[in-house]
Amino acid sequence: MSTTVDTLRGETLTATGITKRFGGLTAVSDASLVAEPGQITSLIGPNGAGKTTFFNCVTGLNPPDTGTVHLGDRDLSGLTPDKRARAGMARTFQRLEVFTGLSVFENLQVAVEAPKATGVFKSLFSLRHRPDPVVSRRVWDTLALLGIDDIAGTTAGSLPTGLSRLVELGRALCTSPSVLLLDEPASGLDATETERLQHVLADLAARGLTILLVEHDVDLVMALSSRIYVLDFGQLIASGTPDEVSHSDAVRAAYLGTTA
Amino acid sequence: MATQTLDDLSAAADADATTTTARGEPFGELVLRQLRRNGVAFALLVAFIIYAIQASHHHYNFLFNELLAGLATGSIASLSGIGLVLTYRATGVFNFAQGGAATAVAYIYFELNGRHGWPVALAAIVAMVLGGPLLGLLFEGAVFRPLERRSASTPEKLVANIGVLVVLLAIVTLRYHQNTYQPPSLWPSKPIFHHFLGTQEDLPWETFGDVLVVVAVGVGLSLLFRATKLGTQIRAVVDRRPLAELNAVNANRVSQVAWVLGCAFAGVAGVLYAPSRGLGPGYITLAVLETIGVAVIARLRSIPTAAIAGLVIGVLNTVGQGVSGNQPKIVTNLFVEIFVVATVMFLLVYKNLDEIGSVGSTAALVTGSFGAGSRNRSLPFWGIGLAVLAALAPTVLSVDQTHSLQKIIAYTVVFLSIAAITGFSGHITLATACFAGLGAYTSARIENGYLPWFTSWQPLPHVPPLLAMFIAGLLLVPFGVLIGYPALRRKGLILALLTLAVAQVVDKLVFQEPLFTDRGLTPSRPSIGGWHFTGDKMFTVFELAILGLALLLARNLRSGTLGRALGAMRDSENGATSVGISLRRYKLIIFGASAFLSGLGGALIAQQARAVDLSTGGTFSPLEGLFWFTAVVVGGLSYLSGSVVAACLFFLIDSIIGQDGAGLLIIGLLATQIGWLPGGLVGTASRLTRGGILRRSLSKYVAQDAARKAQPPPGAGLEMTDYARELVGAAPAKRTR
Repeated sequence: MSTTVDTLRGETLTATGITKRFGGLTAVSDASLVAEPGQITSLIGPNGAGKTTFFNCVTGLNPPDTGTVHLGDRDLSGLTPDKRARAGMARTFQRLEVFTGLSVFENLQVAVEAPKATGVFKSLFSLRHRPDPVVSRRVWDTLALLGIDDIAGTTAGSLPTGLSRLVELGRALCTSPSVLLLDEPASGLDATETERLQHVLADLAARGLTILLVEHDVDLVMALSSRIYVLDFGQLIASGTPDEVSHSDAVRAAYLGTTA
Repeated sequence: MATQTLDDLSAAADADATTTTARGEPFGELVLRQLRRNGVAFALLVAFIIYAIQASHHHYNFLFNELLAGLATGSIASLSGIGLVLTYRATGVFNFAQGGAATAVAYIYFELNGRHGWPVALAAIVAMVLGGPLLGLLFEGAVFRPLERRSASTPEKLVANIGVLVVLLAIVTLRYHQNTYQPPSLWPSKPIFHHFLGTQEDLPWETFGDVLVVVAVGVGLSLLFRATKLGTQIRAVVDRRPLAELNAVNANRVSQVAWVLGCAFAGVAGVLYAPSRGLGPGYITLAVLETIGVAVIARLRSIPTAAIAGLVIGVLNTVGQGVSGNQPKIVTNLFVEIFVVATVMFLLVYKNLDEIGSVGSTAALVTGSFGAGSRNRSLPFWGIGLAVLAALAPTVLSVDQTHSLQKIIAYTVVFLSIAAITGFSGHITLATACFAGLGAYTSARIENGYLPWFTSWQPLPHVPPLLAMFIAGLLLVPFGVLIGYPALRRKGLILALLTLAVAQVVDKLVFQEPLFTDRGLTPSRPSIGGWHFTGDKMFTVFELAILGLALLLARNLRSGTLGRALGAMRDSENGATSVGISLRRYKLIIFGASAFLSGLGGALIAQQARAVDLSTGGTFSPLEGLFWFTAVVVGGLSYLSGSVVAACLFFLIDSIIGQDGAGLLIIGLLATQIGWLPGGLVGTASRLTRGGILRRSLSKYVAQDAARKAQPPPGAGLEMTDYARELVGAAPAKRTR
């Protein structure tokens, strides 16, 4: 069985009252959201609505001015991004952040190894780097799950965008996350790759992982999501099932630009 | 690239918005806002004035004279600082080579006057009016325009720029060797005014003349800026480059003019500095590098601020020395070295400078594959290599060859610390020579029973050299970690400047201070048990053992769990934190480990030379650190063997050609063309040997990507329509890919 999928334990992600200002601009205003295990929750909105800012607030990369983030019953507010990651929060980036100088395999290996930091002196003076079979197994399984095991040895910086997104997704999965935050994972993917991604995400959710998705590919969002939140000018204007959201007047207004 | 420009534009627009509201605010609020922004500077200035008043037992006239002298020093610094800001704003290159240009022009003045017998005035004018500008044209055309055309990354430009500095200093070394000269003063020795303005003091021509030249240049610059179209364009580019480009300003032309002006200013500063500072290895360069502080205080942005900052620091420099004459020497020294002290202070206060373009990772300099294959090979490979060398070296090599080999080994240890911190973890630090110097200094002091730092007290027993060198290395770890703290929030140029400034401060306040360096600096070579590593042959073996340890450390910083985490941090800090890597932990580790390695290497260099050379422009001068950095980049930052190649370049070329400076010249020339050598010499060589295979295995993905790119990209507008239609329940438009 796959080590990647077996170890997944989803937890509820609760973000409450997130507000983020940049100087005079309020990028996100009092936004709250709940993402349940075993479901894909989507966050959509026009360009500049504050989706990525919201992600950065939740993951701690860009701490919010006010608001709290809970994972299960643990309060993660105020923690640094790496502590949140070790607490089970994994993410991908809209603007790629792969480790360009490392091989694809190493990109995922780093993620598996990161939480169990070995002693400094031991690693500074170690004579042999024995590949840990558990780590390797985990990385190979994840690569196979995403269908990118054939490029394991390639330097990540030389990959096209689509494959780099899959590498980021694989890297996120390798941290043993309980919640997965995906920032436009399908942009730059071709049709086959998108289809594969859709299956993978659905499968991960079915196995109990919590997934929060920001995506412009509406087909994908509608097909996958259990619940959709709509962000416009930093404010949540609607939330509900795909069906409810697509019939909401507020959402139509936001996207078509008419005043409701 | 396009998004970058748009981001810049919107940032610029935001900045405009705040300035406009700021202009409308009442005067009181403006003062408060300025106080908040520059509070530290104001507080320091006020503190200084109070201090000067209460500490001053001197006659008013004395202070007045110091003030005038300060204005002279300050005006040269202003000029140099303005040159730095102007070049930086107009071209995006922070011109470390400004010091080289100043040196070159000063030597042209000396050459014309001293060697060819031209009158002082003619020689000075020709050097200043022709020398600087021609150098500027040459730099721009030969190095920086090609870089701009390829839209090179910030670190690449930085390396090319330091390369230009190295080339200029190498040429000077080739022609004038290590000699020092004293060019004649530009001005008559008699005072221009007796009893100036009714005081008891005379105003010397020296002061007056320097200020006069700088004022003349300043007036010329402001005429150019205000009265000509070109000047307006320069100001536009200096202010907001992207906006200026949108308004059809020819940025290339402006860059060219900026290089010419920047180097001209550097040249004037060089000629004015030459009589008082003397001409010798690095003298003028170090003087000009001190004026980086002026540009830093102006946040690399404002020319008027740079002008004022130069004058203020100049005055603080002379008046401070004057009034603190009866204070402890350390206090006086702070004022003597106020330019570099201020640089460090402001770089610590500022979290960022007004940097142009991306802060830039060192990825452009690093193209090493850290893949699985090379890692498993590397340690046995190095082990066998070292063992063979150890067996051969004592028997085969001549005495001179053995000495070269010893130097190469000792420097390789230091160079590995540069490779580790810049190549493996992505931090550009220019303080390596300072750490190596501290290692040599500390090790020698401990060995001779002195307290490691800052006293001439000798309370401890003598310590065996081997133990002393490791204690010294360990003592440097906290110092490295201390430098690492600012690096938690700083990257790229600001970190490079900060580390260079720290190196300058340590050089000035510790290495150049007889109080700290007059005793206990005689290192001896180690003996362990019955083994004496004092003779040349045995010492080589000892060095190889230390190199083996250094290679092991460096290899563990490059690969394995630790190396991967550092590599991840180098390539993407956001990505690294997102998988749970603590940036703080790993940054402090790499700064500590690198300090240890440089300290160990420094001690080895001193043992090899049987002396700790802390002189100005000597083995551990900040300038030397710049050379080392350049050599390692050229050798190959991301490879262990890159450091070996760098050390060989550093010593072998000189000894083969038999000319000091030949190696530097080649290193500098290669650095200016680093864009053609991704991954340095080692990287390029390894790319050439296995490039074919790599390209073939990648070709199918490249082909896929190209095919996708050939289709019309899903533009934002198109996607939005699609999206909207979907949401309002219309028939979904099937997307064709």
